[in-house]
Amino acid sequence: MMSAYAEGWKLVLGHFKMWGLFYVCNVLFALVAAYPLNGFLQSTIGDSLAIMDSLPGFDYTFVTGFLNQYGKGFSLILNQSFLVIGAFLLFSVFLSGGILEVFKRRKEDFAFAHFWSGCGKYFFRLLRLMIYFMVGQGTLLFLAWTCFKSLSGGLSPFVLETDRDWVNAFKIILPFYLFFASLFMMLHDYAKIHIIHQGKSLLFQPIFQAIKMVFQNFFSCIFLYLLNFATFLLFFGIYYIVRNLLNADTMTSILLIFVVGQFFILARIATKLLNLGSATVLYQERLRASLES
Amino acid sequence: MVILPFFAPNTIILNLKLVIGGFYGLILNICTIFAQDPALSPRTANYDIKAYLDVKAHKITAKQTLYWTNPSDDTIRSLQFHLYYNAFKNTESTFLRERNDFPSFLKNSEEDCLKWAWLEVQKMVDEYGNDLTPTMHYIQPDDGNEFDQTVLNVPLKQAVLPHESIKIDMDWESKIPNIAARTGYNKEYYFMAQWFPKVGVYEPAGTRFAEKGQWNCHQYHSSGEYYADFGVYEVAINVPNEYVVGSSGSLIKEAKTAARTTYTYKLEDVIDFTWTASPHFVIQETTWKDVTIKLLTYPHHTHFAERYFRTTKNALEYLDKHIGVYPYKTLTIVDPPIHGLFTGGMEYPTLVSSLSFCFLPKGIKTPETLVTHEFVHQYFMQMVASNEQEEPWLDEGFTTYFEGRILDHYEGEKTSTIDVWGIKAGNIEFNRAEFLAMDNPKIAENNRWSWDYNHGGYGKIAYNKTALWLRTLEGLVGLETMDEIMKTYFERWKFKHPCGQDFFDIVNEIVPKNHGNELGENMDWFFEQVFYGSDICDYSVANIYNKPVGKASGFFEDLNDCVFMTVDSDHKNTYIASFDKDSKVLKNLNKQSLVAQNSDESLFKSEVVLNRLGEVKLPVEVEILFEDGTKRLEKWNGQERSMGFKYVGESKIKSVEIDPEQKIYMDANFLNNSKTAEIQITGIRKYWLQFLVSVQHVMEMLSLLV
Repeated sequence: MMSAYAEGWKLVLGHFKMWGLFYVCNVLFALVAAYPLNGFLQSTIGDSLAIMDSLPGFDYTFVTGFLNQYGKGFSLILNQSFLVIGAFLLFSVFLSGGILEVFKRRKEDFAFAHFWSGCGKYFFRLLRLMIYFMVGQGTLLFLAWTCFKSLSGGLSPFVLETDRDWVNAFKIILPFYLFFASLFMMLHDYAKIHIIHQGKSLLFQPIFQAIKMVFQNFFSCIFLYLLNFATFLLFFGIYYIVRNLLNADTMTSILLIFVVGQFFILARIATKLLNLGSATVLYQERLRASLES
Repeated sequence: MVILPFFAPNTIILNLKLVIGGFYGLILNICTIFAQDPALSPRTANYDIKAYLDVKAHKITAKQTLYWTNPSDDTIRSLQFHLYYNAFKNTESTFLRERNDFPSFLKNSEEDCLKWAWLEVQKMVDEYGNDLTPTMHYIQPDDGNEFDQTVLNVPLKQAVLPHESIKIDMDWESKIPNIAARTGYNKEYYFMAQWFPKVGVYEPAGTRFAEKGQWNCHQYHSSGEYYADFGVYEVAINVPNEYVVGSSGSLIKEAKTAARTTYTYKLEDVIDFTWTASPHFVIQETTWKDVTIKLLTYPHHTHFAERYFRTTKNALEYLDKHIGVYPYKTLTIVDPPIHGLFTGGMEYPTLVSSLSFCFLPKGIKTPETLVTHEFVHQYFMQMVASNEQEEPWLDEGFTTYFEGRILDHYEGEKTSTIDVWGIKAGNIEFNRAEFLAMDNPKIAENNRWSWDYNHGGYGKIAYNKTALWLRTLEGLVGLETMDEIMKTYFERWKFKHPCGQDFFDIVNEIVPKNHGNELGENMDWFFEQVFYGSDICDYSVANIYNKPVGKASGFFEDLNDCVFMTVDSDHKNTYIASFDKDSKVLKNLNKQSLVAQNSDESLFKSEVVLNRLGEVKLPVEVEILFEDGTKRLEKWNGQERSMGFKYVGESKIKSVEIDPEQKIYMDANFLNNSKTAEIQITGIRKYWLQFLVSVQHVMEMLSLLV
């Protein structure tokens, strides 16, 4: 497991170009979504002292005033950004095929040709897989919600003895939900790896094989997953601490916060690649072990 | 005491007994008189109630004695009573007809049928032994709805002469509702508000709007609250032993039997009496000066005591200083259980109900906000007993105004309502935003009766809008004058029934006294707009102009000599032209973005243009900041649609701000109150980059699903 983790890091650090590509895509899509806001702000409140007065921190009067006066225009920008985010989601499906193809060929030198061929070849399969797992996650959420309602006597406050019932029910349900949701995500990752390695068009076999592999190597898979998650938390913790040291009240600090934010985005992309990379390594090692045995 | 003449030996002995007895009675009376607190109010309606709570049938059986004094010069031939519980008797009551949503418990099932409520007066007898029961009948003075039984009219067989009293004994029974409109029961929790037959208010001629003496006893409407006379309450509540009782007033007696306990409470000079009971209540206590503060919570909420006690003491201290003394010895706070949610957030004499939730973080200050609001109601309308149904703004608006002052003072102007995860909101700004967020803030005027807000707006206009214009009034007259107004209003009208005009009269008395004619002869112009009108106030800075002062150009004395002309307009199209003396032709026409050649670059003509976008006209201050740091404070009476201020000087205008201290708090849009000569790039960058990064994070988060 630790070797898979270490190899995962090697994959990430050894594929700077890919890492950089994902970051650039992220920035470009975000710019498309966010750029209209720049002009909107300039034309509405750009020359108001209120915008400067609101710099030191969250200003409720400023925010509510802005939404009250200009909320309709802002909601148009928001709606557009949802579309862009949706497009990015599809694009991520496209790119994930390339990532996994590259990681499958981890012993070879990186080549964009392999990357793009993987993107195109596996796009529809990974898209269908994403839909299946989203339905699965939705079902899981529904089940958790149903359990919560039955544990807390329903959502009506009038049947509860105390509001603690809601809190207690939530405390019971949440850990289970998080565990199973994470398990689903892990199965999703391994199913993707199966698809890429075996090149099957139908998805149910890779899904079942992923389930089989995960349960046969349960602790390794879980701990690797937790390790990757802990890595993400570490980066998040650093970002949180650094971010809270800065106050966005001057141009310098605003730009600094932005740069710090970009480093965190890079870190998030890295942990995503780490997750797929280390899982691929673990998969390949287990596959080799099972073939040898 | 009677003293008879001494005539005969046995008479002597008899007289001696009488004298001794009389002397003893005199001593007793004197002691009693000195032992009684002096009456703070007229004590028009006094009640002695003995109530039995049946927790299985959810009923109250009671014997009630009303001692009622005629406050007028009229002869009263009938009494009118509120029977509030009959609002929940069936779907045809005025209350339920006016409600848009059906209460959740009122469904058409046999089990749920048990949850309807009623109050029935079974017998009513006057002190002369006259049985008034046969002639009692329901009336509907507001809407003529024959099915509404929330007002009981009782013709008297013996009229009550001016300023005379009458004693009425009655037996009544009620079926308690399953918590509707802040009263009722759920599970083992009982909150008993508006629970007994309450006599209406007889308004003598000259009281409020009464041109002649009249009963003011409205039906129970779905919007609007209550109105009652002052009196002394002595209430004995009989409950099962395991029930813990909380109540208005002080406990004066407790009598326990094997299965049940009778708690007797007394409270003087109040307009109402409320109590609560549950086997699960935990009582905690503290004191502030000589006031005992009790908190009743369920076990999981006992940790809220610190927040409740701290906030209540803050409110006591603040109002003691800024309005007047809280005269009662007790204050009970009820924190209802979650299944009694709808009884929270309400005020009764010396008893308030709040709300708290275990699952909300500490930074969501619901308990603090509610308990402060409900406590301020002890002043407006428990002591200054305005008519909540006809003039809801007169208590709710005043209470919201002081709620904001108290909370912002003790919890921070920007954090007194919400302070969690970086999101902060002060109470005053929160209430302002609530009003302005209405779909149509102009939907109704402030002076409507509570059930006359036909298309909404009751809450936001009675509460929030009133508080906004009170705060604006404070901004115009200053805090010191505002406090003087409020103190005077309280002192003059406590334990009485004022109307809105009484408040306006006090404002018109004090403001000219303190400010002369600065704000006009009186403040009627202000109330005409903010109270009787429904328009919006909105001032904006339209434009800032800064132009270099050009030297005089053209032909002057010498027609053969032309001084170079400068033609400049705005920043984008500025021309330099020269006039050739010989050919007398305009030459060298160049577009440049610089000041023209022969202008005086050391002087600027600057102008500010202000607009009045709203219909409300208020005097405003305008602060102009120049690039060299100097400031000018101008005053505008706010009457015209637009106004300009011009300057000539060595420095350009950098920024303009209308009402820099936000005295005109009801201005609907603070964002257009200021303008800068240059775009504020820093501010734009901050919000734009934050939005950009947020979108990046959302995209990365969603890509985990891929």
